Amino acid sequence: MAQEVSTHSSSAPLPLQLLWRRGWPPAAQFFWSRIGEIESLPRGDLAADFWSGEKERCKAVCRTLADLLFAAGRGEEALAALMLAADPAEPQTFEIVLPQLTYAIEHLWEWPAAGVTRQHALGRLTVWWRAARGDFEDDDSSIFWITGLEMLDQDGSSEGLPPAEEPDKCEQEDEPEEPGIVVMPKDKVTKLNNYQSEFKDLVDARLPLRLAGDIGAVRRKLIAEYPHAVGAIDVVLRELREGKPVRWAPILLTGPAGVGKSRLVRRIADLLGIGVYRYDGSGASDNMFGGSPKGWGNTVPSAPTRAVNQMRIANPIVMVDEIEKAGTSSRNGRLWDALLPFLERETATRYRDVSLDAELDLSWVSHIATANSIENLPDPLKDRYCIVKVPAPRLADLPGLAANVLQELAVESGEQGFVWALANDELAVIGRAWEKAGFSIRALQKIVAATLEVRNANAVRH
Amino acid sequence: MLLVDDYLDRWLRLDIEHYFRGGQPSAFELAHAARLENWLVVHACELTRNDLAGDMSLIGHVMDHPRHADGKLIRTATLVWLDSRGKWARTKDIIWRLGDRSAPPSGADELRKLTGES
Repeated sequence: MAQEVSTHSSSAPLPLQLLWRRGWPPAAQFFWSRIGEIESLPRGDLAADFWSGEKERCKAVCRTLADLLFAAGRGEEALAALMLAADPAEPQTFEIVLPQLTYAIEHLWEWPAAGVTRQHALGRLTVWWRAARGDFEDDDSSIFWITGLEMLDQDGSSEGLPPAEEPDKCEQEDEPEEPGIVVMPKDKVTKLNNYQSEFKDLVDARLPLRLAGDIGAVRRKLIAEYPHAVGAIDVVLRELREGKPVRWAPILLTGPAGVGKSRLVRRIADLLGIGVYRYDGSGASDNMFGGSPKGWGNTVPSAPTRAVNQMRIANPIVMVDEIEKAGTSSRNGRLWDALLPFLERETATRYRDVSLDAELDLSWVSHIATANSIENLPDPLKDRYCIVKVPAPRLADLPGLAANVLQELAVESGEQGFVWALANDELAVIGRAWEKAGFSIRALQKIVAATLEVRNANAVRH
Repeated sequence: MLLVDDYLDRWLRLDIEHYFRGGQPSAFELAHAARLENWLVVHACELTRNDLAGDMSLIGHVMDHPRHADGKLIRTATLVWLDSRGKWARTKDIIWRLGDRSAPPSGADELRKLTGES
């Protein structure tokens, strides 16, 4: 006869609980803490992608997690991972979620579960079915967010109520053995308003501090990938201690445009398993590094706060790209002024976020900036950074660099592990083109991509 | 008749529970399963707004099916589980081995009108 399915969780099935999360981040956080108890799962290795904040990366890693969870015999958790990868802009992603989820709700799971009835759950699921039919194809929001809004629209009665707040309790149990800190203690917070609901989960939440693993291995990998930047890599890694939380005093990477400074930062973070929150210094984005005051309509917390909230760790990297460009924009100096309090550990430990109207401990956030030149930076700012030069690569670095670029292109196009290495004649052509383009990594990416196109257009190469 | 339906329901439930424990259809099951080529997922368009749960099924060219000629275009019964890699599917009544998805049958809108069967 029928066997007990939800043997692994004491409370309601995870997919059901996710249905009531308002927005992707709360759903993801809940999922993340629940899968933390599965020992065989290499959750840490996937953290950087999971919390990257980039939709495609998140979707890909959720599908990977689903595979791993299915393989571990945890189908409910696997289905939850596929729910997180469901994208209204891509209705097909619902095909591997909805049939099984609907069947489980109708026939498999015990009711009432988590304080809701089957009808409530199916009612909420109608929004998912509409997404599967493409009703929200033009909407950039997650299905969790859309469902929240749609259910509010519907008479606002008990239908929209969450299944009590019971599930939140689990979140604080996030790996007690892991070192961590409370970034936003409750007694230093005033009442948050509606715009800040996504930060509500930070209150009194103990966030993990990611530790530095095998630094020697990280160094070897980095040097293989960035042979021209050995000096910079050593200066940066020197500050880390194995088994201790990853944290740097502010670092400013400087070097000619296109040598791969931002990529280097991302790569270091990837290898250490922490996330990078990128802030565009040239002002292309919102220019709200310090956040906007609470009184404003749609108030935004500071960039480091957003980084912590997004990655769900206490020590992410906040990278200000092209910091020198901030001075030339009309918003002259605002970024530089806003940055200063974060760069001093003393003030960052008790940073008063004007948006959340709360005192936060952001002292574990690392600040790395990149600049093509530092001449125009004001001295007070320069004084606070450790300035590290990243030189341009030389022709001798080409084979190694080209191989990396090739690998990256393969990953992007989903053809991991299935690329032919560059042949010598191809390298020679690339080398000549690269020399003309001034040895920038960005140029190299374009040249290698073009080479691949030519190769694909021709016959298979052996 | 009722007995057969009961039996099918119970069998379906056991299968889905098996998949929720991370299981897959066995090699034997797949080897003897009917095959669907050039398939696509369709929604039950006649769904009314009051109907809480939706309904998906598959359309494609059937192969190795006991009751249909190879190559016949059919629409399956309600889809209950679609493998995340698109290799197999469990509909309300049977397991399907899924073939190529890259070339769905033409005139898909017309096909949506096909009645559910397997």
